[in-house]
Amino acid sequence: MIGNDDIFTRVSTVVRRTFQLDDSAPVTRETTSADVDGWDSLAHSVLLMGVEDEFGITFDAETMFELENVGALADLVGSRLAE
Amino acid sequence: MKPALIFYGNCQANALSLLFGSDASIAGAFSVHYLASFDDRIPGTSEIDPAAVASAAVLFEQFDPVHFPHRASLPPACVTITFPSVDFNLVWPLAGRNIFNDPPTPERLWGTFPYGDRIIVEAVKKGLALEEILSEYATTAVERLPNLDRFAELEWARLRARDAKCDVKMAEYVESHFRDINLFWCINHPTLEALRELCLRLIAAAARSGVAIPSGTLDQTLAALPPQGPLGILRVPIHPAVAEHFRLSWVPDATAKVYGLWGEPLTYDEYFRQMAECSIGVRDASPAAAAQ
Repeated sequence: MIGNDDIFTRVSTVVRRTFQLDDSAPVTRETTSADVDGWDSLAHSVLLMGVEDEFGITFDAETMFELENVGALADLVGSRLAE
Repeated sequence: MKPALIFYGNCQANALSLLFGSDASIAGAFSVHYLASFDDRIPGTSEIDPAAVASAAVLFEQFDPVHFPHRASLPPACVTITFPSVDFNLVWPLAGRNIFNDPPTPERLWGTFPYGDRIIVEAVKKGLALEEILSEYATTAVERLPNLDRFAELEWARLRARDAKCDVKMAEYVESHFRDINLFWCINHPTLEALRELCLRLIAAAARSGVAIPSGTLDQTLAALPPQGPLGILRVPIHPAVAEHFRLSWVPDATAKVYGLWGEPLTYDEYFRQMAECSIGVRDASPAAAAQ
């Protein structure tokens, strides 16, 4: 069972990799697309696929474009892993 | 005074207003106006004549969290019809922000290469020389492509989710036709074919709401335009592996000069070579240099 903190850490790592953020750039649960240069709809899909690969899961595509922030994405990963 | 048709949205809404406004039948019955919803760097698009708002018959509002700012001034009989931004990431999965784009100029308000490529950007960031950048692109692009089938599932879901919030829908049209018709020049610039379909759907939606917009001469109006239409000044190449995967029947051989940059026809290789050259500063792509 992966803890929520571990999930968030791994999700934030995928966020950093996707948007090529350096270690000094903050990624928190409250980080949104507006906070990250280049986080557009295309990059959002690339991020989602990166998270799917990271955790070996598949999201319900229909709900993936309403996520409010990185925390919500991490929570969704937790829910998916718990199913 | 003629009743007004108001378009509110991004550059696509501007293009729609230009098409409606250039059609003799429509312009004979309505005055046509545009207000930018964001990024209003095109002169004259950040404000709208209050008289037009007061006489509006239809507000065509592109879906956006920020609504038309003058809703309270619209006449009670004005019909509001929402429509989606018609954009399409699917065939440009390597696109990304171009941090090495030229600064904007009056002629090129978004710089020379507003549509970047992630591989080229990363190669430039690594400090590679021109031929190394192009070699990196040629050797790694295919392996850097995402899972295109999963990417497609997400893209259709994205477009359907946005359609669900709009009166006029376009996702199903794009999904049904993108293999056989060139619907986009780049991720957010539809071709005339796609714009025509959107025009017809907007007119049909207005008719359902009781506003008759004459469409009888629209096809003649569109046929008289240059084939690139109002949004085809930049035509971004599609990777051959992507074209093959999605069986895009209209994508020609990579040696054809069907792509383009500010009116200059380019092949697939020429386009990316120029992008790389500009990114590392060995090519001056400014309008002044091009004129010499």
